[in-house]
Amino acid sequence: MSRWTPELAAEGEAMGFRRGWVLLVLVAVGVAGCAVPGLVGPYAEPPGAGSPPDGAASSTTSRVTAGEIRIVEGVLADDLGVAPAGFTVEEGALSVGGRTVRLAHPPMDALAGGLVPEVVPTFDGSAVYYTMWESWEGLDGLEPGEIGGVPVIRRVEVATGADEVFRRGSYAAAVSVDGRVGYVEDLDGAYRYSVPNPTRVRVALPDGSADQVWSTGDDLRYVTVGWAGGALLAYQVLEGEYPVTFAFYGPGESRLLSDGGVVVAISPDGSKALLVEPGAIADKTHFVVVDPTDGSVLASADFSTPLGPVQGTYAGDWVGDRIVVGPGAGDGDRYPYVFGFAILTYREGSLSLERFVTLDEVSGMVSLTSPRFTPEGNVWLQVTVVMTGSDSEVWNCWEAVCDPESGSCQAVTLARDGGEFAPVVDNWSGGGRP
Amino acid sequence: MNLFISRFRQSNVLAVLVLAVLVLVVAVLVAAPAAQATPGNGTYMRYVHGSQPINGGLYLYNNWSYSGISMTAGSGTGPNWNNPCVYNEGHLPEGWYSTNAPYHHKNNLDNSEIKGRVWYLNDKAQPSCPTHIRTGLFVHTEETKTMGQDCPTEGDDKFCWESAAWDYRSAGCVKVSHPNNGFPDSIGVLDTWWSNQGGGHGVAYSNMLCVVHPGTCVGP
Repeated sequence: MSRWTPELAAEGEAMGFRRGWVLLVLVAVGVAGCAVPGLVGPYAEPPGAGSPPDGAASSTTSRVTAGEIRIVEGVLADDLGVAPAGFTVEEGALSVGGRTVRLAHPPMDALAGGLVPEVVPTFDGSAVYYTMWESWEGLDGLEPGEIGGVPVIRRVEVATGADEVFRRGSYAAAVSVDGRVGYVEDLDGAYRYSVPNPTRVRVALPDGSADQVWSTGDDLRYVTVGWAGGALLAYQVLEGEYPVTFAFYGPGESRLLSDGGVVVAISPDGSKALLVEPGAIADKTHFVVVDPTDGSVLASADFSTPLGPVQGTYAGDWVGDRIVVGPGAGDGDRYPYVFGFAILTYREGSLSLERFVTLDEVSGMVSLTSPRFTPEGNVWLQVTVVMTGSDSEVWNCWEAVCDPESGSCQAVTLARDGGEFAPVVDNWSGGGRP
Repeated sequence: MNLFISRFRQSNVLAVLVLAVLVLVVAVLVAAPAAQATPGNGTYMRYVHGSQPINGGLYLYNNWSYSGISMTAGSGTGPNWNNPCVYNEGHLPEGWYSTNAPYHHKNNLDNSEIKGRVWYLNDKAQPSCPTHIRTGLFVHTEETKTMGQDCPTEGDDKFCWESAAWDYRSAGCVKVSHPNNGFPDSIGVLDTWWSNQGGGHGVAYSNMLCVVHPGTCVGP
């Protein structure tokens, strides 16, 4: 079985993958604002200013590049590269380890709200896990407590195409390097409208055996995020969508990593995670590198630009010593928010801002999500644009690839109003990418 | 003389009776609009997004008419604040909301993240991302369980209304100001309006909040 790597993903079936994009653009399968993917990938570090090794916060001002998004027809230029993890394309096909995998059902976000990926390939590329809904008919007309749908995790064998239920009443699969599957199980087995839907964190082997409950308590809602080595990261989601990040190590064994913070990316060796927290000053976000095994802070920093403080959120990417973080900068007050991405570097206990690229050029743009490095070192990202007509709105989703040096981006339509695209993100860690 | 007194007494009784009827009519007239305008029956809050997450507006309607009461309100945070499909960042999805169990409207909530006067809302998803369900949403301020302030640090405290830039923002809720640091008593005005319109505590009200882009709320 070939090991899944970005390079393999870009080769082999890449042509088919791209044909899928073309078809997609031409057919324009309907809908939706972009699905909002989750996170995680590898990491790195550079020279220059940053936080001291003792973890004390620092603030740096760095160069800002004014980027521009140019919409192109068809496909993106070959030399820009594609995201190392892609999206489901025409008829649920995706490329994994040089093979085209067809999903029996459209992946759909369950109750993770886009915090985590909907489709996750295993480290060795032999299988894909994805979340979908059974009995989903939307929220309209539901009374509190009525079942709105049943989230289901399915497992697809890449070699045979066999697509089977892995766990019913569950969602947010996260696959470790050794194949263990972390996920959350809805305690009621289904989503019930407008009532608490508590979950348990569980971990099982790929064949479903040795299934264990790792969380405690039956009145909390968790969402599994990804693996950092042997630690399974998960959010506890409180009222007001307030996230609390934990690392789970085994049944009943967990540690608080961040109260209010979310995970931007996990290092490739699984030894570190970059989190972004609200910070003591609410108009700034605070970046923290932690060791998931003991919760210790390895570095922390706030970053300023002439456009205001750098704002970060979940679903970034970490390759080598560089981390890309979206969605922009500003404080919503003195500095109006702008879209863009920051490239941070982490080296020897120091976190620093390499550059910030602003992309605040597109009319109707409402979000920038999931920035990821391409194998060529460019930045791939998703942009949602709302086109307002006389009496209606159309939500379009674009994929764009940006050269961080020049800020120049090319964008093509990923989905037009009506279709939802499921992110495929490698949330394993530990040697995944250099 | 007796006749005069008798007539005087008769007219007095008549006057008292007329006065009593008048008082009754006035009382009925005064009470009637409140009964008709119970929250959810054309009496609602209308949230309209601003140009940034901290400068939206909350407008109060009685019986489908603007009451003349409005206040600054905020929803969402960060550059993605204007996309309700983005969990933990985007503003509330658009549409009509009801109060939701177990709190509905409560004046002394004591949760770990949100306290005091709250309106707890139903789950909602933006039509463009129907499976991105937003949950655990409130209309609220930053205050303690007893409607006071807890400001232990120089930074942004969870139960302290320090500044517009910090406190109108939310992960998805609608937030209005508390009369700390000279801010308007918007939460008090909102709570008083709710009570005056017959809104109770711990009781379900349908269609008591409408969230729109700049525009009007069409009846549910």
